[in-house]
Amino acid sequence: MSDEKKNNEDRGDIKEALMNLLNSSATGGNQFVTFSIANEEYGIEIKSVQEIVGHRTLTYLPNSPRFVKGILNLRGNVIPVMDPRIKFSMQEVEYDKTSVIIIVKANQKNVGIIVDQIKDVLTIESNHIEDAPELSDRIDSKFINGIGKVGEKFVIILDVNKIFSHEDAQQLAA
Amino acid sequence: MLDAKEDKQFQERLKKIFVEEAQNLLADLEEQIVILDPERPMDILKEAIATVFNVVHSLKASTGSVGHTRLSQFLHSFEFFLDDIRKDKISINAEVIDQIILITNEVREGMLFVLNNDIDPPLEPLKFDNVVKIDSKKNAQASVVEQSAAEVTASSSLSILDEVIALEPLKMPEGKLYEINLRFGPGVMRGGNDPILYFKMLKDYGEFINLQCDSSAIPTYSKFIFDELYLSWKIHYKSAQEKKLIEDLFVFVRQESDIAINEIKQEQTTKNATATATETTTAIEAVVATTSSPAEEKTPAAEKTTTSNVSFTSKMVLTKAAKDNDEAEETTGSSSNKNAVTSIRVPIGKLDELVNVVGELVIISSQVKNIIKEIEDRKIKKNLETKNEEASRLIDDLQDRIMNVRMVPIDLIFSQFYRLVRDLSHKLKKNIKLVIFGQETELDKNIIEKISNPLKHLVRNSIDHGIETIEERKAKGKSPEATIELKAYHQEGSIFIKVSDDGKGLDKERIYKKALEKGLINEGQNLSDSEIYNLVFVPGFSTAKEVTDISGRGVGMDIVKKAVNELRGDISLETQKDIGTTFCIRLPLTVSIIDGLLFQVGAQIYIIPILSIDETLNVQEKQVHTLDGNREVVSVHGVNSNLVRLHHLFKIPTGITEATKGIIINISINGKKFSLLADSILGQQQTVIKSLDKNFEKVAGVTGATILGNGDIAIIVDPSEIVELHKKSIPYLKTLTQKNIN
Repeated sequence: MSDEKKNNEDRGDIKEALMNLLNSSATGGNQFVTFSIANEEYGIEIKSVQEIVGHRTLTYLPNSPRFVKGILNLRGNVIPVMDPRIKFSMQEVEYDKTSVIIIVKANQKNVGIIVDQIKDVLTIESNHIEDAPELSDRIDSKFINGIGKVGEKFVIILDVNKIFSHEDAQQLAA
Repeated sequence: MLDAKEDKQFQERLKKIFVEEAQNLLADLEEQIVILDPERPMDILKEAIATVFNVVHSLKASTGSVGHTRLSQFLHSFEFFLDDIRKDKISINAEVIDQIILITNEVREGMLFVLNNDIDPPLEPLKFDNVVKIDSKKNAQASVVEQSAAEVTASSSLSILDEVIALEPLKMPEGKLYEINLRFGPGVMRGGNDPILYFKMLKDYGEFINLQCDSSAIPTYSKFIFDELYLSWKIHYKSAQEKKLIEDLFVFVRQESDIAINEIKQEQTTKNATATATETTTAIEAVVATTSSPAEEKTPAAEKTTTSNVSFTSKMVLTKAAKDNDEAEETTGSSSNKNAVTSIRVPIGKLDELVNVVGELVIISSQVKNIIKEIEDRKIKKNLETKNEEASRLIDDLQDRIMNVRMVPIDLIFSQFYRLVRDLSHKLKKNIKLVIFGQETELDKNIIEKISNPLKHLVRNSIDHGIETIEERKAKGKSPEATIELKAYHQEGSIFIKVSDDGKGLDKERIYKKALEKGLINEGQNLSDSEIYNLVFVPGFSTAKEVTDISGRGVGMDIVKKAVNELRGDISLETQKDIGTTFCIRLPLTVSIIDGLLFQVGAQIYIIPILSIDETLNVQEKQVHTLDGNREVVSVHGVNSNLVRLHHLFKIPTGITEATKGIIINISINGKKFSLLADSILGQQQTVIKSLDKNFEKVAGVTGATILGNGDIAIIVDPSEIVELHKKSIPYLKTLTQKNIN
């Protein structure tokens, strides 16, 4: 119980710090918001991140692709939310209290991505980012912009435009 | 026929509509000009040019409809040029783009001139050689010699004589400066006196410095008397002659006229000289009605007739005149700027923001209500309750008003058609009566703006191609007077607009042949009548034999259909040989608000437009049947309607799968009945449609989403799409239809 509470507080702190950062640094050339999905760390360029909201009940949208978990109301705007686990063909899990929705701007549209946990905001210089491997055992490499190396750990940098690309959406709907 | 008073009001309304439309189109044009940069990729340029083409096309139509013939002709020539580019007859390069920008600027200035002065600007149709070369200045210069203004009504064989008095660029002559106000008597020309003579005489004795013509006295065409003079002039004139001599020039007309000649004293002179010297006004053209040579020209647009024209030789002056309009108005004392618009343009996004804020208010108000319930002090509780109720009433009111801002009667566009029909029917020597029904029907402003041009296309098309000439009609035994009917009404949650004519109907054979020629269909392809008729909506199809300025050049039905589809509507047609053709446009009531019925399926709330619902009811077991082995129908009042299981269609888990346990919502789509099965009904509410495409994409069966009072989202379903989905998703229906075909 106390662990969970602490966890929540931590998350709150990170979120707050992150929002401050989002507000203060408009440029953020090589800064990435990192998060985890299935114990793997991923990163998204900070400039495409609009907002981070806690997980909430989504409204199911009939006839939409399976990876669209539903839509949510963000101050009067309707925003579709996707689960990258489905997109990346991973095992689906129940969302819990640490689940977070990152609202990103992809292809001029605001979309939400459900992630297990928000981790950090990291600066990764471009010379520390390697090209995506041709083959990845975890996710399809077409969604990956590169692999960033931070100290000893690796961060998979995602291409938000591709993970929510229109053609894909159509294919899956069909 | 309209009487004179109605006609006057009608003209005013037309003008107002024209001004608003022109402003919108100009704004569109500006946007495209920014894009036109030779550095940009070809496809973007092409798209921008195509858009400029469409805007020019619309501008042409609307300027034509208010009688600005010259501007319309100028635009027509520009359109040709653009069309050649569009069709790759002229390749796009930096030079061509420069030309487009140059001409577009001229269009813009011409339009501004019209908007500010309400007279046709002195523009001549562009002439293009194979190699495009235009010198805009030269072009404008040439336009001083007018060719197109001579027009006269059919009732008289009199023409209006154009005459031009060219003035040299300003150099101050020696002598005294006079201000001359010439207001000839209205009947002056009947006495054989032509005002132009006086200008010529004045020119013999001195020099014009500035000349202003007041044309504000010109009446509407119905009151226009051809040999009456409606113009007056104010002249700054420099002459070595004495005032007496100048006065004597007017001796024959002084009695019936109001002529004032005043010498301007020296210090005034300098002041005036500097004032006028800054202007580059170099020529004044006066087109004066006079009783001379007969002419056969009779362009209907000219009935309203531009009897007077102040034009300028250089395009710079044109702009300047537009800008300095206020000044000019002061000096002429005329009321030439009648087009001041009292409404403002607001981006629809701002209204949406307002609606969002009000939505939040509604939520907060209901939360406050819950908090008040917990207050123990009865007096405070009572007071708070009263105040909160007042507040929520105001919020409701606010919401209604914001919604209402978007709604305008369709009369706004319907009324333009009287003029259009009258002018075109004169031009084509057809006798056409326009009948309008349901002009009070209200539509979203967004829709009104976008449906206006498609409707014009349809009406023009009917007049041009649908309706026969008087002789043809007589030969067929039809009444020589043809009828075009415009009708708007609400039905099934939609707005219907019908454009009908009693003309010759569509020619099935010709459409088929044409489609074959154009490769739209294959040889031997078997098509039903309606499939053939619907070919007219396919891009690249146009049955017009030649290009006319009436119904364009193949920018026809496909554009109309596209425009309608973009508004979430559709278009269909019915036609019968020698009986006539009807185009029927179905549009959503508004792009953003619907009156919806809230119902539940599974854990979620859905909304269906109330207007599409026939009734809601509970059914008994005996009313539900299975036909053809697996087609479920519900029998209501002895009529069978197909059962649509929403939980099945939307794949929503729910406890209610029996038609008898849930509730049935009956709807009609294209005259066929369907029964939607929902879990329960929650109530009704006016809801704001939030489009899904904005952040996602179009989802089949779904119009959009809305946000409920408690912040939850409800999905708004599209009844006709649901029925389509139902037909597709149910295999037994597929096989059934196949069976029927076989």
